[in-house]
Amino acid sequence: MKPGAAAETRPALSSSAMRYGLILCVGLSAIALFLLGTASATPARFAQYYPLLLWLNGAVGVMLTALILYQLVTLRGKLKIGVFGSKLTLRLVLLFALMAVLPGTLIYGMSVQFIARSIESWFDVRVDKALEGGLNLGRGLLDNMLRDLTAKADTMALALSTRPPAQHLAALNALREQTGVQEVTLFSERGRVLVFSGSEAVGLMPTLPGTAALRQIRMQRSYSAIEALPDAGLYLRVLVPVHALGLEDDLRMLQLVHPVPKELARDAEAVRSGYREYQELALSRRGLKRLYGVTLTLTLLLALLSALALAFVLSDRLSAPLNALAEGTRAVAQGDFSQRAAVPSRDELGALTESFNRMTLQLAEARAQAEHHQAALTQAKAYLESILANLSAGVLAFDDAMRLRASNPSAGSILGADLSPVLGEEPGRWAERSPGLAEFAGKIAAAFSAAESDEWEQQVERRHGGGTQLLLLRGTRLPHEAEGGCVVVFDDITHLAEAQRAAAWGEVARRLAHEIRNPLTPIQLSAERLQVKLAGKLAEGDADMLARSTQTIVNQVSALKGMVDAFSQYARTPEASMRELDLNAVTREVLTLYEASLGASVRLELAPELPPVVGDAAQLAQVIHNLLQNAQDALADTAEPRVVIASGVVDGAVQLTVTDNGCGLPEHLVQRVFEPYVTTKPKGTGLGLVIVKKIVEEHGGTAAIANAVPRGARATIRLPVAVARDLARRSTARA
Amino acid sequence: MFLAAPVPAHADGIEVRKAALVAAEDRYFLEAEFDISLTHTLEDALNKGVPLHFLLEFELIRPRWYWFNERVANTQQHYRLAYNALTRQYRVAIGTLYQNFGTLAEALAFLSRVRVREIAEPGVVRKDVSYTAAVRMRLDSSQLPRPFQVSAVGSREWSVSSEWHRWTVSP
Repeated sequence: MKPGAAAETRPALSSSAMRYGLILCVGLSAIALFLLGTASATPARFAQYYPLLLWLNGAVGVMLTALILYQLVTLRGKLKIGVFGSKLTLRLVLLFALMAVLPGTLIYGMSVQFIARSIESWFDVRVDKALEGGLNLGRGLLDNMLRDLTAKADTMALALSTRPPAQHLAALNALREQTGVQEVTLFSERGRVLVFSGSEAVGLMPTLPGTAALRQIRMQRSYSAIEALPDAGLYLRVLVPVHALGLEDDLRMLQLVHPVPKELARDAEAVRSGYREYQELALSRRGLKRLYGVTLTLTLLLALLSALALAFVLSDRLSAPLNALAEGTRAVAQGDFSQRAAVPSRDELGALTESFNRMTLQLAEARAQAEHHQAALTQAKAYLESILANLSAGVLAFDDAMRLRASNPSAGSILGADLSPVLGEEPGRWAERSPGLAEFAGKIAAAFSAAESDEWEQQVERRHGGGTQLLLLRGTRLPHEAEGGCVVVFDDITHLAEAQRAAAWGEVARRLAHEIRNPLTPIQLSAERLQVKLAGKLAEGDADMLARSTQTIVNQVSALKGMVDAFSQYARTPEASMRELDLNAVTREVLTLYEASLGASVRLELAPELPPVVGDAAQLAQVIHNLLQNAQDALADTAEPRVVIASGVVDGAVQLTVTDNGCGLPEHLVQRVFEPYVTTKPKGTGLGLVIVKKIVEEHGGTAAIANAVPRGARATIRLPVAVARDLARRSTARA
Repeated sequence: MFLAAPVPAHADGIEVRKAALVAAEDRYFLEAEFDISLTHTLEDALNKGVPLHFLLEFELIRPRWYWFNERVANTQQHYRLAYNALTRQYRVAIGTLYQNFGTLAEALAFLSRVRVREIAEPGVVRKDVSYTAAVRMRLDSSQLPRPFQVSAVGSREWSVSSEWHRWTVSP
């Protein structure tokens, strides 16, 4: 539920709108149902409002249905995109709906049944018959009374017809008194009152017959009817024609009006109204059932719909804290430990969110601590790694199974090989990946298997780049408490060994020179003295022998002296006076000494603008001298001797090469020419090139000798270009 | 003065046979004839003692093209038709006045011919203006007992009414 704040506020808005809609709908339905209920109870203006009320209820029902549909669609959408808690909402809605629908339907069914039964129970054939009978009884009674009155009227009419009109009033009064009729009136044919006789209860005026009665009586027929006067109850009215004696006389009508006795009238009226009401009820039974049915159905419908809509809202409310928790867990899973808003309820859900918040807080703290540790570890590791990387010694780490686990850059550079291909390999298999390491690997493996203790140390010589490299290996087996495995640390001690050897030779040379030089002078002097003293005293032949022997002694002693001088020169190089100088100039200077011996065979290829180098002129002259001497010696047996002296700037250093086409160097000596007493010359001391190397290295340069193609040898020295700062540093160092 | 009297076809219910405004001196009164035939249900109910109320409605309208029509007169007349099971008589009552009839046909015939006096105040109806008169008669179902009203809602058996009958009056 994280795609933006807008998406989060929208459902909230719609849910609140939904809630208001629900409240509105439920309120409306309650009002509508109340109105419907009261309208059913009060007949006034019922018909006017009943359809309106039905419509209102229907409209509310439609609104609720729409609301529920909307909620359903919303819920379905949520289910589709898998919003957390929507399944729970669905289940809760179904549960609530079931809880609402089942009892509701039950009560509805019972009520409808009950109403139908109770309405039907009002009607009974016996009651029907009784009422019918009562009515008929009343009718019969009234008919009887009417017949009786008619008989009286006929009697009166007969009596009157026999008398002259003058006696009519007296006769009528008498007859009325005799028969006990309340009101007797004699009308002319046109409706004029001729004679009227009434009891005390009647007023002075007779009640006039209706047009229907008059019409009937004119047709010579009697009229009898029961009339109901609104204010005077039931009356019996009988009209009979009074036949005239003579033809000249008009037709006359006799009217008898007599009230039905009050009690009888009341009872008859009661029976009538009872009958009427019963019939009314019987007629309206369907309508009543329909009325109650409609009211009940609407009530049920609205109640159910309200309950359903309410179920949605309640379910939403119930599952809302779960949603919050789900959101929280998702945030925690993504590494967001921010606190969630606590659900403001005191029930278990509130407690749950609170404990969840506590948990996230603890998680955040734990993570911060872990991060801190991680940083410290990383720092320590980086520190160690930088130490290893900057260590001049090579380090190789092996695991338990003797597979190479790690190496530092120095290891690769000392071995002159890339170690990455052999990572994770045992030394026995290094040869396949990197053939140059085969010998080295074999030594390590052998050393570990041969070592008795956990540590061993060994010097190893290995061929490397055409030369021999002397390595000092130290192996250590790591304790098993740690991860185990082995570590090999090695140093390139080639230069160290060389220096040690040179120093040792220097010492030897110095001693030899000292020890040998001392007796040489007395030997020479003694031999010369023998020559001087004995030359004249000996015979020709003896003197000659003495002279030759003495000469031999002197010569050998001087040769010995030269050798001793060379030794002492090697051992005790004079203090250098460093200054800037032109190597080309030094070369030319030295070359003048060889004009006679080498002369035409020398070819100069000196670079015209050679940068100056810093050095001692005499020592550098010695270097060039030694190189030229070697070249000269090598060219002794060559038919067309040729020496090429070239200078130039290579790789930022001043380079001087002396190339000859002489006999060259034997292959086995090429690597060792710079070691003392390695020589190819019968008279060589083996110190010339040693001195060259020593001087060049003291000047911060390098010296190398290799055989040239097709024949001959090439000596190369390189000296750094002088820099003002460099010069200053050197002079201060010297001081 | 006798105006407009179309004769519609007879059908179940109430039809206006003819209607007219009759001028007498400065008054006008309505004379109308209806065809009233009760449905079976209504007749049954009537014979069981349920009183039926009929309502005669009359309107006199002055059409105005510039504004809403002016209602000049608006009259209602109630008729109550009831059957007395005891005396076996039908009674038509107009207000407190009543008349008994032996048969339903007589009662309905009486009810069919109406004459309403004083449908408009004197002087309201002017001579030089043309009016539209409208009349109808219907069963007033709101006066029926309550359960019948439920039945009457949306039922043709219980709602008997004539269409509005309109005609032009130009005094």
